[in-house]
Amino acid sequence: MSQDIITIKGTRKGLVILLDGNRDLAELKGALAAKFAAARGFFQGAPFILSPSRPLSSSEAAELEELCRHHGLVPARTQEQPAPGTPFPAFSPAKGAPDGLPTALVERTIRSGQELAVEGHLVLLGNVHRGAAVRAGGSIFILGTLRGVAHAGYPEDEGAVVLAWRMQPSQIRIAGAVARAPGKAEERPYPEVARLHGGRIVIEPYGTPPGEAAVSFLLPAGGRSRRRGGGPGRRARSGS
Amino acid sequence: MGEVIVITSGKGGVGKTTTTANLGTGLALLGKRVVMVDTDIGLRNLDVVLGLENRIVYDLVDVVEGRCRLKQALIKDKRLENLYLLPANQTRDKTAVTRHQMMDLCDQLKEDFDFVLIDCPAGIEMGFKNAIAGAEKAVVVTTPEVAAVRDADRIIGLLEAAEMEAPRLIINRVRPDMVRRGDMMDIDDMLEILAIDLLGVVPEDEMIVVSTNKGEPAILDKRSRAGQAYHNISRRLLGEEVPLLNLEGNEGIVAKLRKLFGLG
Repeated sequence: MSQDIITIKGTRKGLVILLDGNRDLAELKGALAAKFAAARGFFQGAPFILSPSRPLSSSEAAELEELCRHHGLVPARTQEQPAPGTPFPAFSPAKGAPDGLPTALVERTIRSGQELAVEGHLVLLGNVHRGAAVRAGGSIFILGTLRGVAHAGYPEDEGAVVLAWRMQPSQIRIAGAVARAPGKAEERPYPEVARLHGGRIVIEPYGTPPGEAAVSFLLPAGGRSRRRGGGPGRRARSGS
Repeated sequence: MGEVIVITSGKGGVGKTTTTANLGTGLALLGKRVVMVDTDIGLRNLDVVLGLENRIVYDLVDVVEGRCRLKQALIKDKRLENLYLLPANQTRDKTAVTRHQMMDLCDQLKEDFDFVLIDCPAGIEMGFKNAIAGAEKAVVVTTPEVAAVRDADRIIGLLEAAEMEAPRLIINRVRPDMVRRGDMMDIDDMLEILAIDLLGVVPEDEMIVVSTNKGEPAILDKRSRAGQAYHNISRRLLGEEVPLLNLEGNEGIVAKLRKLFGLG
């Protein structure tokens, strides 16, 4: 039955070890050790991520990680993957936000005139329509189409990003910077990330290393990116 | 027990009143007992569109303020036996009724009628809140214009917040020739933006102007394309599966041309 307790999946970024959260630690360890014994060093040097079906306590996680290391696996730190360069939150591991911000998971459509604001990170399963706005203290992940306004890192977290499955924003704000879409935005059929790069908001396809494919197709609203608080942010384009 | 359906749009001038008049007439033609309630207090129009203006004695405000009984204020349509209108007051404003009064009124009306259609005023203020107060279902009317779609989106959000059953969309005044040329938003685009179910598409039709001025809903005119569309929508409100009018096909254009020459 050990297959059910532990499932190991190979992904591009390494091994994902799925753990059945209903089993106790001893069972998990036993099953894991059996897997490794059966693999006879096949996993040597492979990066791995533990993916429990329920959150593990830090001591449990540490013990399991230690066991994996003992068998020659290397813990994958996903933020280390985009080689040298500053890691950015879109690539941080899913387990616990490193900056201690809570993450809100919201499943709804944000329609014109509606505003959704959260203190920490925001994961939105739905679309943000034109005339609607989402705001987060941390990063914003929209698993849908962003057509309205997204403000990440409110009020001053410059490391925050806005990720959207389809990015067609009327405006993006990160910390104090504001950018708007130039005229008619073409539809790009892939997810994109917007972040601050040298004081400007840039957008790049999701998954490319930071800075490499950055397109600053967004125009700074009101001529230049401006700090918030220096007067009401002029909106060069109020939607539609 | 009848259904209370509010017909709303956010933006003005997209055809709420025309839609209410035509769907009310359409449902009555299909044998249902229907009452239409004009909640646009101060800007009453539905009576004109139905050609019932000079029959008004009492109105909605008289009913809620107890100056008459509900039955006394209901105006029977001049063409159809089972169609009634509760007109709006023209001298007061939207503050003349409250949400609770509207809820009571709708409760009373639905005991007696199969359908209570509420013609909502434009905007999102008190008039809108009153209009939706007693309704269980909503029909959102929009036209293929960015501003109208934006307002429809806003209205849908407010209806959802008011825990209304999933609203359905009528796209009014569609011009297939312009859609084909790419000069007008197409139906799929609008449905993608608004993400609600489509109840029907009504083509632009000059006959609407004529029928509105004459006080005769276009649905009574067999030659009207918009009237046909409203007839189909009425049947859909009764739960029938009716395919969308063929707006794009050659037949439509040929028929239109014929009609044009016939008229000319």
